Amino acid sequence: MDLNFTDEQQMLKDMTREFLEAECPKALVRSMEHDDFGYPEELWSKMAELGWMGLVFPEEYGGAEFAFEDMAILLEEMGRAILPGPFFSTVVLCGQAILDSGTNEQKAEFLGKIANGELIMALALTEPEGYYEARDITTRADWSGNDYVINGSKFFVADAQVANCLLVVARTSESEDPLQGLSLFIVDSNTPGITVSPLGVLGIDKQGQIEFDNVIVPSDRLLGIYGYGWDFVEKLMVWGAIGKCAESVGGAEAAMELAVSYVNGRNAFGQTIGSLQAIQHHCANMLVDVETSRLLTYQAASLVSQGKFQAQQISMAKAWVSDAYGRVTSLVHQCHGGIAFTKEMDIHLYHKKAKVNQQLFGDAYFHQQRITDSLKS
Amino acid sequence: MDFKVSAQEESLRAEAQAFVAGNVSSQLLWNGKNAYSDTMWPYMVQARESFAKLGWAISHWPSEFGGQGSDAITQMVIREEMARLGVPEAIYYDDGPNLIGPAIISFGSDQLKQEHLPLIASGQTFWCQGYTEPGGGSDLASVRTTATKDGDQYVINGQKDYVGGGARADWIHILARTNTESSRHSDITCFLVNMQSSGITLRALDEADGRSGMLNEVFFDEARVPAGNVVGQVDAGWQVATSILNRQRTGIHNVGRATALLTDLVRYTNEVTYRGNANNDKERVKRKLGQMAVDIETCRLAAYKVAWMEEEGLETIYQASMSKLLSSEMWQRFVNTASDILGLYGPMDETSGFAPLQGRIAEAYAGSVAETIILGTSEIQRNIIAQKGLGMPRT
Repeated sequence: MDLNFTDEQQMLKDMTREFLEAECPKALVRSMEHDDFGYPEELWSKMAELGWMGLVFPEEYGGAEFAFEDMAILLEEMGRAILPGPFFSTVVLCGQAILDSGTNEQKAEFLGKIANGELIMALALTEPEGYYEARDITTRADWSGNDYVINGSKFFVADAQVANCLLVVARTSESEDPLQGLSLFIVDSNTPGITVSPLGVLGIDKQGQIEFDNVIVPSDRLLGIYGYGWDFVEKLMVWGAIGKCAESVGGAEAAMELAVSYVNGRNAFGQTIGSLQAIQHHCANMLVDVETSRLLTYQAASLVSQGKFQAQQISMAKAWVSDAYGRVTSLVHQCHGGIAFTKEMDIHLYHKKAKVNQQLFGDAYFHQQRITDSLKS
Repeated sequence: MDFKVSAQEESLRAEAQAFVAGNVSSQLLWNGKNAYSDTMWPYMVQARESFAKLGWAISHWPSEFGGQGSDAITQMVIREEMARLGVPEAIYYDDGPNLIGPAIISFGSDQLKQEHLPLIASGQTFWCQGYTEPGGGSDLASVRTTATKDGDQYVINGQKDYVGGGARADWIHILARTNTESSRHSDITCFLVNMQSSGITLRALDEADGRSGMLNEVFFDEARVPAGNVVGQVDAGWQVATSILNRQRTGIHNVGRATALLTDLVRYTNEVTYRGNANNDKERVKRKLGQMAVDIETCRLAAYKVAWMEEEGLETIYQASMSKLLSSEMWQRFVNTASDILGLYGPMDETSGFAPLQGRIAEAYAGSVAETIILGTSEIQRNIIAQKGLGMPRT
C-alpha cells in the first residue's frame, strides 16, 4: 500500500494548480457560462504548450507518456478550477480512444494534432433515450459498397459546438444482442449532412444535439473492430466516469474550502458561525465526502492505469462520487446562507457542475446495478 | 499510488481462516451476544489463549516486550478477516494487547511492565475499561470517581458505566480524579485496578440485541489500589487516556461483518422463491445491494488509510474518527436496508427456523444502534473532524 503521490505527480499537481489559478480565474469561468463558444482559445493554446493535450500519448505523437492516474491528477485540478472547454472530450475521451484502438495511420493523423492543440474532438455516444446502454444506440451506419452512411440523432454531446471532428458510435448491423453490431467512426464535423445545435445546460458545460442525415464516412475512418464497438464504449465509459470523479474531487474540495473560510470569518449572534456545532458538523460531513471520494477515485484511476477496466472498484467510485459532490455543494450553499443563492459568490458554479457530473457516464443508480451484477454470492 | 495490501499481508487471510477453523468453537461464530455467558466463556478463554500463542495478539508491540513490531496494515487485515468470519471481538481485539498494554509500554513503570505485559501477551489476563460514568457519556473528562491518597495506597470511590466485559475481566483500567481542587483534564490519573479488590461490585446491563453479561456498571466503594498501579504520572492521566482513545477508533470490524453478510444476502436474494420484497422488485434490490457494496468499500478504504498513515508515522486523529464515523453509520444503513430487502422476513430472529441468514440481520439491526454512540458519538467524531481536519475553532 502506498497512498503518496510520486514526486513527479506532486510536481504535476502543483504546476497545474499554479497555472490554472493564474490563467483560469473564476471571473473567466463565469464569463463562459453564457458564451456560445465556451472557452478562450488563448487558454487552450497555453494548455497545449504545457503538454497537457498529449499527457498520456507516446512521444512519437508529441506526448509525454504519463499514465491515466496522472491524468486524474490533472483533472482534479481542472475540476477545482472549473476549467471550461473541450479538454475532457478531446483528450480524455476521443484522444485516449484513438490511442487505444486506432490504426497506426489514424494515430499518426489525429494524435499529433490533438497534442498540439489543433484538433478539437467530441464523443457522439448518447441519444435522446438519455442512457448509457447499448440498446439505446439507434443511430445507423450502413455500408454503401464504398463508404459508410450515417443516419440518426445524437444528444447530450459535450463540446459538439466547437469540435472539428466527432467520434460517433453507430449501429452497423442488427442483432438480437444489443451489445453486438456497434462500431465507432471518426467523422469530420463539416461533412455534409451534419447539423449541430446547442442544448442549453446549467453552468459552463456545453452540450449539443447532432443530426446525421446521410453523412458519408470513408471506410478508413472506422475506429477499432467492426461490429465490436461496444467493447470500446465500455472503455470510454471508464475513462469518462473516473475522469468525472477526479474533476468532482477537485471541485468538491475547492467548494468546501470556500465554505470553511466563509464560516470562520462570518460573525452572527456574537461569535463566528464556524464555532457553532451545527456548522462544524456540516463541514465535517463535507470533509468525509471529499476524502472518501478521493480514495475511491484514485483507487479506480490506479486500476485503470494497470488496464483493469473490468474492476468493480471503478463503478464503486462513480456510484459514490456522483452523489458526494452534490452533497458537498448543497452543504456549501447552506453554510453560506443567503449570499449563496446569488451570483455574488462562485459557489453556484460548483453546484451546477456537480449536477452535470453526477449524470455523465452513469449515475449512482446505473453503477450500483453494475456492481451487483459483479458481486459473488 | 498503490491501494492493495501486499501479498504477504494478504496471505494472512488464509492463516486467519485456518486459525478460526482449528481454534474457535463454531458455537462462538456470529454468536458474540452469548460470548460472555457461563457456557461460552470457557471456549472464549481457550480461543484467546490460542490467538495469543500465534503471537498475533501483540504482534504490533516492540520486540523487547515480545512483539514483532508488525505493521498496522497486518493488524488491519487480521481484524477484518476475523470480523468477516464472525469471531467475537474479545478473542482477537481486546483492551489488554491493544489499549492498556501499549499505554503501559509508553507510560508505565518498569514494575507495571514486568507485572502485566507477559500476562497480557499470553492472553491470561482479560482487561476492561472504566472511563465513561453516569451522566458523563462521551465527555470523558467529566470524571467524578475520586482517588484519594492514603499512605502508599489510593482509595477509589465512584461508578463506571458501560464497562464491556466487566464481569469476566481480571483487571480494569480507570480514570479517577486525584486532585479535586482543579478540574477537567489536568487532575485525572489512570489506575490499574484488580477486579477482585474488595469494594468493587458489578451490575449487568442487558442490551437491545439480547446480549447479556457483556456490559456492566462497576461500583467502587472504598476500593484500595497500590500507588504503584498509577500509569504515567499522577494528574497526567488524560494524556494516557488520549493515547488509548485514539487507538480505539476504527471501522474495520463493521467492514468485515458487513462484507460477510452482503455475500450471504446476495446468495439469499438469488435463491428466494416467495413473493416478498427480495423477489418482487429485483431492480430495486439490485440497486440496494450495489449501494451496500459501495458503502463497504468506502469504509474499507478509510480504515486502511489510517493503518497506512500509522505506518508512515503520520498523526491520524481525525482520520481515525472519520473511519469510525463512516463505518458505524454504514453499519446502521446496512442492517436497516438488509432488513428492508428481506421484507416481512427481516425482523425474524434466530429463534425462528424461517429466519433468513439465521436471524443475523434481525439481531444486527437491534444491536446496530450502539455503533454511533460507543467510543465517542458521531457528534463527537464530527467535532474532531471539523476541528482537527479543517482547523475550525474548539467548541
